[in-house]
Amino acid sequence: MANEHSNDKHVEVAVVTTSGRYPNTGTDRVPANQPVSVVLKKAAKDLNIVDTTNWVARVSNREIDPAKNYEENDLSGTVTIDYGPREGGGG
Amino acid sequence: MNRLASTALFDDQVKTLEGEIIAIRRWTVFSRTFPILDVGFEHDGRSPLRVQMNCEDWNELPPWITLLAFDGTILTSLPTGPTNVFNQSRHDITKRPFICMAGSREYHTHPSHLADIWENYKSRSGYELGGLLTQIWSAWLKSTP
Repeated sequence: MANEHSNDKHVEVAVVTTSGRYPNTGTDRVPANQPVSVVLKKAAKDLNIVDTTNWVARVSNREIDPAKNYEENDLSGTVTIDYGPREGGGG
Repeated sequence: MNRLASTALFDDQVKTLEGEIIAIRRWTVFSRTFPILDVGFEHDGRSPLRVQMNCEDWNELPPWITLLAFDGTILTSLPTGPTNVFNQSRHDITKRPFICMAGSREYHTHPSHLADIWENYKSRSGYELGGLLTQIWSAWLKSTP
């Protein structure tokens, strides 16, 4: 029963980057047990971001794990993900 | 690169620096009129930082990057921290501490990095103007407040 209840949960999610926003307006409604990486891939494709290697996803300045789902990242309700490249560094 | 093309690319890349993304990150855009992109960062418990990019010749060449206090004073010492992005030594050309990271003109003109050419980066995701700002912001967040 717990799993059935969990599967009914959804979050409203948007991804913001310095190249634009996904979706362009509003949010995507997705299952709370879906990996965050799914929406990040959609955002990258939609915003023509070719390579997100070494990019980091943050919510409220907290880094989250895209391989985990929203519940595992302790996210619920309406979620705005800040997505961008991690710093390089020369040394 | 001719100035018209450079201006057009600059304008295309800075037009998204508004609204939600800058509100979430607490960025303030002081200028986004070619060739100057000037953006301030704020965060609780940290001294605010302004990153001023001179993007003349963008993106044939990377921007010169000057770090400022919020009042526009040029910083003579930079944040310290674990990332190596903020280099405290005097750059040969600017005579100031500098951003030591692929994507800054200071980095690519530094004798230690002449072989690491901008041409290898300029088409990569994360090396457009917003991406460079994001990288510096990310390093700043990890620096000593």
